[in-house]
Amino acid sequence: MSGSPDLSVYIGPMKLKNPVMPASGTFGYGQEYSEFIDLNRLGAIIVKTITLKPRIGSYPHRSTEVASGFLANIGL
Amino acid sequence: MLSNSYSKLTLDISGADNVPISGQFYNVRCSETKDPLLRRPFSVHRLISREGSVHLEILYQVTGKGTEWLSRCQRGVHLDTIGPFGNGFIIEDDVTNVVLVARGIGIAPLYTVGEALLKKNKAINAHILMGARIKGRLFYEEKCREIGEVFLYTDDGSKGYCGKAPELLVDLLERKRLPERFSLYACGPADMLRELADISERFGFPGQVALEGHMGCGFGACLSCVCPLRPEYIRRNELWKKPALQWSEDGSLVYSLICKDGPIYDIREVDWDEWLA
Repeated sequence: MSGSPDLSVYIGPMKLKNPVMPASGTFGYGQEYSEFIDLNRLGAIIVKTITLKPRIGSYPHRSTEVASGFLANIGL
Repeated sequence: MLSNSYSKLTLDISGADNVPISGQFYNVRCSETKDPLLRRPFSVHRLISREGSVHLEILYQVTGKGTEWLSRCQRGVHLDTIGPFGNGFIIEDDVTNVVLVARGIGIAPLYTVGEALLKKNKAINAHILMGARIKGRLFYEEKCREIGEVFLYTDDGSKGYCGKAPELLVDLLERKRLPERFSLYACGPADMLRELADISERFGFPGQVALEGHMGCGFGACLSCVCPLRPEYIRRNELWKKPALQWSEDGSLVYSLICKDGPIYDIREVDWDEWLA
């Protein structure tokens, strides 16, 4: 046995190189994290909601920290 | 520890890629567990370069679990830190008179403004209004006297002027104790900054403010830390690009991410009524 393991997966007809996908809402639109990780290592990025027309989102304050968690109402 | 609730943290950031400027901040993990989960943002207080090493000083107040943990860290501990983030204060070449207005820990980012101005121009006149609720909460007075004339205030009058910073500022302006022309730099509670904005309109001086907000990530991904701006006053330049504005469909409302577009804003571009509603 040699070489790297094959982690590729299929979602329908779409092939991803691995099943690691940051969840929607946790990873912005991906580019915000580009300074911290090589985005090409990910199988996919599940972006935040994208709307046809601009939305201003929820009024501040949009989030609060709770014990070992984060509650958010971004509205976007 | 500087006083009963204020502490100073010194981080060795030698070898870091980016050198911070006044007004920027770092996000520091303040726990070895997931509680608290989020990093805590701390503004740049001072940057000390000496014989090849670069040290970042942070002033902070112990207010909760994260800062309590931080205050118990021993010398030599490695802290998980990311940054610098945000824009910075604009320090214009032709400024000769500045007024720095701080409440409590708000002096932290302003001290470095004073230092940077003096480094640029030794003829700078700096006037520092600093205060707290009571005498026991004042700190850093002697250090601030190294960069300019200090005017203290306390809400209860236990030391210095009896009242809040905006009242002291108006008092000094009316008694002509401040130069006729100056630039204001301020950091403190939002209601204080709002009053300073009204005073800046009334007396006609420019100003920059450092805003705080509930932050999640600190670098523009979670979209949490918004503040409303007045569209007609939005100020953009090379340092203040504002890449993260969120507009309503009709263009009448705009929110700005404090971590990405800020934390420093022109005092007149913030929609204070909306922010404090």
